Amino acid sequence: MRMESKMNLFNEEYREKLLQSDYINGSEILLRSLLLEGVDCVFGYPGGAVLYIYDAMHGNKDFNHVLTRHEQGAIHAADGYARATGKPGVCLATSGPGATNLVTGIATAYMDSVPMIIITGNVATSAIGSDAFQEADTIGITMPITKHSYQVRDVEDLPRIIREAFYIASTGRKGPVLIDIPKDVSSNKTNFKYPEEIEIRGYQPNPQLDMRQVENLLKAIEEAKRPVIIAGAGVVHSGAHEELLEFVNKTQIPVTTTLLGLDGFPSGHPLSMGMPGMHGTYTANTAIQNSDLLISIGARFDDRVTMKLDGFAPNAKIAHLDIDRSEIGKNIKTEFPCLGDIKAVLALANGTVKPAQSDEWINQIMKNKQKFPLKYQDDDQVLKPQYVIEMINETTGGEAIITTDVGQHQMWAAQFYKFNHPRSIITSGGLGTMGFGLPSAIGAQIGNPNRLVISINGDGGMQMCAQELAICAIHNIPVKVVIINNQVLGMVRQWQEIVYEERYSHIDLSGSVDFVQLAKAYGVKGLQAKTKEEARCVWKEALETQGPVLIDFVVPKEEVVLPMVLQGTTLSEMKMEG
Amino acid sequence: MENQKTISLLVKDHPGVMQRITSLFTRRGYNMESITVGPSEETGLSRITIITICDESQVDQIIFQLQKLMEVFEATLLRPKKTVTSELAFIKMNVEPNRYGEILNLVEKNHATVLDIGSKTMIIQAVGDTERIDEIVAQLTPYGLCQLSRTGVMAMEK
Ligand SMILES: Cc1ncc(C[n+]2csc(CCOP(=O)(O)OP(=O)(O)O)c2C)c(N)n1
Ligand SMILES: [Mg+2]
Repeated sequence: MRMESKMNLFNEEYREKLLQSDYINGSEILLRSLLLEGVDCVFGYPGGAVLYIYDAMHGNKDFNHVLTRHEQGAIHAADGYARATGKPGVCLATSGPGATNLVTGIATAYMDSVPMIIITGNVATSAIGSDAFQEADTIGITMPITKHSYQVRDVEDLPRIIREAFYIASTGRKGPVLIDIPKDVSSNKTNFKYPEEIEIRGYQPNPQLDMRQVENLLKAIEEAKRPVIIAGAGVVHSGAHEELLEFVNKTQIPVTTTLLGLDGFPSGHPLSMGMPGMHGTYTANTAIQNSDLLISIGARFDDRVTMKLDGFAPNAKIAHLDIDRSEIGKNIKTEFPCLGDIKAVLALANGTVKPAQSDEWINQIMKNKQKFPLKYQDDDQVLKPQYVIEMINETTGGEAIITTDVGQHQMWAAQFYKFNHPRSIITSGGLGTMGFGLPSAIGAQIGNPNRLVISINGDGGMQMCAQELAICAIHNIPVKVVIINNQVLGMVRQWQEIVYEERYSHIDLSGSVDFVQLAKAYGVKGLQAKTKEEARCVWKEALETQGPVLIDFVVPKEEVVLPMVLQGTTLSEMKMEG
Repeated sequence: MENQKTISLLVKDHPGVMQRITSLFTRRGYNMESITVGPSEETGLSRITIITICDESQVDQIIFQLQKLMEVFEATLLRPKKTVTSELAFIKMNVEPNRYGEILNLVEKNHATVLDIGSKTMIIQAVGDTERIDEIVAQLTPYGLCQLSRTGVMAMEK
């Protein structure tokens, strides 16, 4: 894989060359603009409407493009790249079916506020609206799932639009921005000029901090006896993990981290309580329910976290730090709003913050952590899924980047992998998109060539984007692809067991493909383990292997994710035993 | 109406802007009683008035969500006491010639105008706040109202 970029943006000479006002077509303009934005990898798939763009790539040694095997693979890979690096992920697809194949991935990124640039081709401007071959209203279809979108009607507008798109995607509350380029726009020529500065009227991505809001928050903390912090994705997006750590150390407030915020705070910290919500820890959920001041830092009170809202944190005043004004008070009445970039708010707060009166409270929480740790029934004779995750955690010391698919294995990964660094968990939280695990790992690895990337998948979701194993093989992308193979749609089975009185309807995956053979067919090393011993052995082999490896861990289907809070009940009503 | 709220938007006059706004309302389940749009004082910008029925806390949420749309430059909640509102209605009547007189009387009494008189139909224009138009429509209905077209409310703060 050509992961090291040939161009160096700090190389002024190279930049000058790119900026030259040559008379070039829209496709060349696109490539140059992307290079100027620092894009070192585009994930895409060609087709009729983007042929000029692919033609411009031909022979362009500076431009790095990865051809996936499905547009869904491309967009999830771009997403994984963005989550792992913090830089916008870029994805390119043709009109019509190419664009519609991106929809799931765009929605996935939108729900989790991931900065992305999505470029779609379209039919020529003259044909738009005529139901031309492979025409789709991409802008209309994606409007509710993008932060913003553009249809470029004139090649003259293209550089400005690209510049704006990158700015919008990566500032404020981040998100996917789509640029739809009709075929004639990609072939028309003009003198290239890349705007140095742009001004977008009415767009204020970084709200001015309100000192009074911060002061009110600090005062509330000083008076709080049972404070709790819920740290969410916003901490990671804002790059505020160090500020959060300092804030926690100064205030002595226990922290629970949401699924997307697991990597925003070191899980080994004494004040870390693990994840809240439906499959949260006893300690975190109980702390929330008993708290007198609940401080969300970049977490949006998602229903999987709050569960039944009426009865959520019944005794707590709510404080909420967020960059998005519309999130504050959206789901829950908020006494202490704090609008702004989390890093800036926390940095400001850290200057004067005083500890909460939380000694007794912390004692109680420490006791709960001791008494009610996450646990499972281990068995020497049986390979349990939780055991596999614990083993992965132990052997990598929490240093790996973990991507997951969606289901039970995702929750076990969230529970039993101990994250230490930001941008280490890459998972579809808001949309819960099966098929995300493998392609996102490819993107994460390309963005971080030197880190160990492990993709943890279910046997169901693995089959939704399995074709991307080809990319791992062809480019030697050394992702370790783990399958927690329980032969069922485990999470659905769990609900059917618990909520639908064991009426198992269409969850059986037995007779699926032989994953080891599948890996081999793609040219990827495949290993399988059915016992603990085998698991340790093949996992060691996987870690010692230079290239990509798929490891099929065969586990029983009966295991359930615990604790569990049933839908319609409050966090106080945790089901602790199977 | 108690929970009726008037939102005024200044937006970029650009294809798809209306769709972005209406799509936001549909997606988030907000109520939209009426929407009017037209050019503003600044070339390239339109002013939109939206009437919605919702409670206090929801209207803030609607405004914040609208403000996030890139093409919305301003989104403000108009204060009822400081706001003038008006809408325009065209009312087509199916009329027997012998009742023209009565209708013309009603039109005059209500400060409406007749835009067209044909052999069997008549088109009346009425301007005023929503209650006013409702009232005129109610008065005209028994005389053979056959088509009604209203612009929706326009509003401006004093
Ligand atoms: C695209 C998509 N379709 C359906 C679902 C609903 N769903 C959530 S979890 C799940 C089961 C996943 O099974 P598997 O991949 O084997 O993982 P497991 O739960 O067994 O670990 C399903 C079907 C989803 N989240 N995404
Ligand atoms: Mg499964």
